[in-house]
Amino acid sequence: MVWFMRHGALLKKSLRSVWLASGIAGAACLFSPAQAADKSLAFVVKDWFNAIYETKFMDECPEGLSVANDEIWWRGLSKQDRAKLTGNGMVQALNRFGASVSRGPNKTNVCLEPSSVTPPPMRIVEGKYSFGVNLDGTTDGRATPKTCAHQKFTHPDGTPGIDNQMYRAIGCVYGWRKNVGTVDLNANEMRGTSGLGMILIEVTGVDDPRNDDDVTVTFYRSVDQWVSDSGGSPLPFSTYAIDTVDGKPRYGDSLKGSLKDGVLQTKSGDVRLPYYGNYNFMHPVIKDMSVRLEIEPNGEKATGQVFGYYSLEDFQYYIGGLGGVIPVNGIDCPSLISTAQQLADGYPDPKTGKCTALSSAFDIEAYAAFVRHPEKTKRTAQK
Amino acid sequence: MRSRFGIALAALLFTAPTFAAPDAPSGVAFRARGDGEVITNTAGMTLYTFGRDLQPGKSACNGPCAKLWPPLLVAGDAQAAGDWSVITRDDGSKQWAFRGHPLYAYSKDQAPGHSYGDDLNKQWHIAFRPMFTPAEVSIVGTLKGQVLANAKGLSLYTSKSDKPNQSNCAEACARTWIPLAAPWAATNRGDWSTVKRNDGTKQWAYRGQPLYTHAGDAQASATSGDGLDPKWQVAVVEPPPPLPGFVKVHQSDAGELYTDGRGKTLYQREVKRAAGLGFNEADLQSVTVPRGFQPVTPENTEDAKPVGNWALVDNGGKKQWAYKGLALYTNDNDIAPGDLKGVRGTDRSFYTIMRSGELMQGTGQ
Repeated sequence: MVWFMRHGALLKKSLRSVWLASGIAGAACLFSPAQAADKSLAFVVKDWFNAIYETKFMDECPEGLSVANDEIWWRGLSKQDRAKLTGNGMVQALNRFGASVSRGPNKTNVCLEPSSVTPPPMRIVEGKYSFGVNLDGTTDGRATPKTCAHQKFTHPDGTPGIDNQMYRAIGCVYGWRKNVGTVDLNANEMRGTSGLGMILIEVTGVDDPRNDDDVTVTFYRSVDQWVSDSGGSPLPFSTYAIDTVDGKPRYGDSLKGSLKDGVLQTKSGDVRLPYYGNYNFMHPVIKDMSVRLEIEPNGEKATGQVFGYYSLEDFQYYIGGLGGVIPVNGIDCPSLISTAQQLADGYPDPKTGKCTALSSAFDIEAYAAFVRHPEKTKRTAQK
Repeated sequence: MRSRFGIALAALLFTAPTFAAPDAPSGVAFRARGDGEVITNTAGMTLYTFGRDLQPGKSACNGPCAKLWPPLLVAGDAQAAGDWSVITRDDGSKQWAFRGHPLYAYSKDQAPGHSYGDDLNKQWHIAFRPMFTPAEVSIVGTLKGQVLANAKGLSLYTSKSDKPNQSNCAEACARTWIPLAAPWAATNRGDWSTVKRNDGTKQWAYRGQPLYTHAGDAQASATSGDGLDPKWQVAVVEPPPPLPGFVKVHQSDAGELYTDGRGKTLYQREVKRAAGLGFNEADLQSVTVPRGFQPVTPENTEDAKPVGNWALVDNGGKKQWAYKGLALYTNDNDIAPGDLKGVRGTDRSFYTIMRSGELMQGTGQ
């Protein structure tokens, strides 16, 4: 049960959202010898975290953390049933998950059928600050043809007009709090150990790995597992093959971008990405997605953020399928899904007018890699 | 409900016949495969070995286990001979063993040709007598089927440019397609012969076809050389099991899996897999199939016929397709071929059938 083993490792992650000093003096070695003709950089994404802004005294969640499914369940029981079904409180939340999540009518699983119950109000982020970017282009979050009215945040660096309704929804849920929550951490580790859902980022058309005002950034899925060093850490400059069918990539959406002083910044566009985590296989399409990646001076590693509108449908699917992660991360599926529906700020449904996506920001950490394209490595007998 | 006889008849139509062998005891038969022979009882039902049978002359499957896996009992006073020995079970009865491995049937197999128990819990395996191979050759399972491999499990290939017992691959070619060396003392036996190469070395050939490994195969069971060049093909001795007409193979994020004709991923449901974490198997059993899952019925499979481990079963009075006895479903949330939205961390009773035969990666099972 992988979600038992997360807390220790999580302590090492406190710097994950800190962008490292720029500079790319050593990045020339990122050029793949096999692709020297069309120079490229490539990275394999190791970590993918929701960007969560936290203050020391949790000012962003003045009413505390959100109430979990387990608590909602046992509060609804008689004193006798509570004692019986929880072993007088001695059965851990994880081990009574089956009973607690089946609290809908006729034992309906409320994570798979969130509309089967009326969820209680949920505690959401009420703070002023958030990571992210201005996705809708407004200063006040008013409704536009592409967005619904919503509140704006200010970036911790003082930039106004930040959109991040995903953070507003999940920022006061235990499972996404830094150093304690394990939702994203568990997903990252599952990808690392299984080799599933791994994102490859390839930057092509690079004339100068430090400064180039016109590059193309393409997103693939790797079919290879992590290549790790003897300590279990990812080994930079390892080779990863892309996922293809009939010789064509199964993923491969591209964005235009530029490199400036070793910082990759893309323009925005819709990108379909592979995702695997917490036993869920997904391929979310992030709308208006853009990426900013800061490449370490030695070229081995890059950290940065992904911004864009995350589909409400994908969010609902993911939350409902989190399984054993739910009881140990203070999640209540119906209230979180209902809250996300209310907070959605992007892409209104033409029929209902309700928004179908959440503005979002994610922290990512990636390692330099070589991308293996099957058509470029095809061998034939040389008779 | 479809009768057991009906299922058996359908299966017989698509199953290779069994045959008795002079060196086998009465009660035992064989079913030929390209890579050897499956051991069956005389009714043609597949027999199995048990991975926990570790103590020589003893069976570790007794009591309830023996009800699920009935031992192949010795009739009369038959005696051990050759590969065949007799063990005494805990209840005093006698059981046949092949090469020291006690033999069992699987009570959930319904017809000859079924092998529902194969690889179950990674403990039960089909009782099998493999074909003869030289010491330098093995047989490995791949997505192309059972293929010849070198002793390290690297797949072997043949070339259409070669003539019987003559290799036309040398120098640059032989650096990509590496001849499978035979010892200098190797001699011909059955389908196996040696080819003398121009450099004086010997190379193994199967049915006259010289054999090679491919320099691009980095690990056992890889077949990266197959299809790279129309002249070269991996040496398949037993193709993958046949599929009903409506079943297709699609690539997914978890590997190659089976879909229906529309490209919708096929799922099996087994509630005992989802038990634990406070989920009670009996409760799960009583819960109807969650919304979004649709049974795969004959109405939407275009008159496909049962074959191998694919059969029609009765499910609540309606016929439904099943694989290894477990009913099949599709999921409404799967849109594109290879989608896997039916796999959920919150209900792990549903899982897909991987083409490799392995359990699906990433489901934590």
